[in-house]
Amino acid sequence: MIDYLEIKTDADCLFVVNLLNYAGIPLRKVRPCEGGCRMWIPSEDGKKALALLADNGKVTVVCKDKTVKKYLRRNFLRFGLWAGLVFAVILLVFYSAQVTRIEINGLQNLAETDILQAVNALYEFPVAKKDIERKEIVKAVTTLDGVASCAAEIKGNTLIVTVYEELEKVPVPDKTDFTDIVSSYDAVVTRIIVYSGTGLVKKGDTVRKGQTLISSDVKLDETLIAKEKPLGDIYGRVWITKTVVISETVLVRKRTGRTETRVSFQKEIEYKGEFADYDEEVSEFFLPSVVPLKMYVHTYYETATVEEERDFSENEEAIVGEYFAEMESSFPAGSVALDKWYDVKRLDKNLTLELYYEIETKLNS
Amino acid sequence: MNGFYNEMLMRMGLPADQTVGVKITVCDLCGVLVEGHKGLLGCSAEEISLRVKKKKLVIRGKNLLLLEITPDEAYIKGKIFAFEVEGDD
Repeated sequence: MIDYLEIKTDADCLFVVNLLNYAGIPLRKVRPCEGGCRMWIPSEDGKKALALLADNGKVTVVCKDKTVKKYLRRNFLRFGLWAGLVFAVILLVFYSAQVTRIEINGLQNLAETDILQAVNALYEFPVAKKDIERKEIVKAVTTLDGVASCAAEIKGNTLIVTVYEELEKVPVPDKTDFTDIVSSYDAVVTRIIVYSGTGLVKKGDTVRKGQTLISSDVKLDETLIAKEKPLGDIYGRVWITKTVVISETVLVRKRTGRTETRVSFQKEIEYKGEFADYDEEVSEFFLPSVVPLKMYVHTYYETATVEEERDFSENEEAIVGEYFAEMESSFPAGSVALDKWYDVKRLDKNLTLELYYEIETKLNS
Repeated sequence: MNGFYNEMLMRMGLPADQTVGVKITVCDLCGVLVEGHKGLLGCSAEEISLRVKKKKLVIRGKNLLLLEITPDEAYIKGKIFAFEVEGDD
């Protein structure tokens, strides 16, 4: 408790408390003790309380004096304390006048290191606040690619750089190109949206590859025709076919049974043996020495390509699925698969597999 | 505090003009604030007595300490066991 006096009197608690309270003096931590009682009183009321108790013939002793004056008097000659305080104040003042870290906000696509490099090129941190020119930082950051604008402010010991990135550039269509939009496939039109130009087909029309779908000619009146960049989206049903000849034999790589083994400390080594075609397997083990050393065993299996008979009817589903998957991977982006089927034709030695896929896709891709 | 006190009086259906004067607030049975006391009548670690109006308020407990006492308020700390009001109506 600061600015309080602890006193001890030889009087009874009740007497002291009521006497001092009657005089308007508040008391704290009142507790009876051997031969009287102890309590804390505010230092400003100290003299008054002591006089009152003396007037009533009570012996009072001040046990602890925690007044501010006393405290200052006691610590006045503690030079180490004052020196420490002064040093702490100087340190705080010096530290508060420095910028020690950078915080970068607002980044979405740009790398933080680019911004940091631009700022560090101007100043070497820590740097005094008064030496920082915020306009210079803004100028340096704004010159970077992808930065639209920038703001720099100092809060405490932190330099906060807020970056506003440029918006993504939208591709602007070249409106001076008057080439007609033509179909890329033989198809049946399912949807047509014309933004500019004249649409020459409608839903349900059959179109051939290379046929004009949207013309650049726009009729202004009966006789006047103007040119306009044709823009639009035309979708249609397209049938894609693929013919595959399937042999009843298939080439397979098989191990011949001959092997070679090499032992090395390295996991990857270059093979310099007599096998032209081989498979490699690597296993590891530790040498049973004092220090366990890791070794690798490289086993090379000679392989050869051999012809193997294949029964199409047994693997029909898998073979057809494989070729359909191949076709799907070549579809234009945004296509929707509508239907698929296949047909098998038997020749003398081989089989011919005809695959059909019906898709809806953009015709003017 | 005043709002809470008035609300309490209202809920108990007591007349506000006759019930002002003494307020006793107990905090979790380990602290008591007595407002409007008229003096200390007894003080020990097991029992602290205060004069309230023309009666005697006895607070019984364990390790009781008169933490702060002013002419109007008394803060008592310790384990509270009982309150008792002695005196005629």
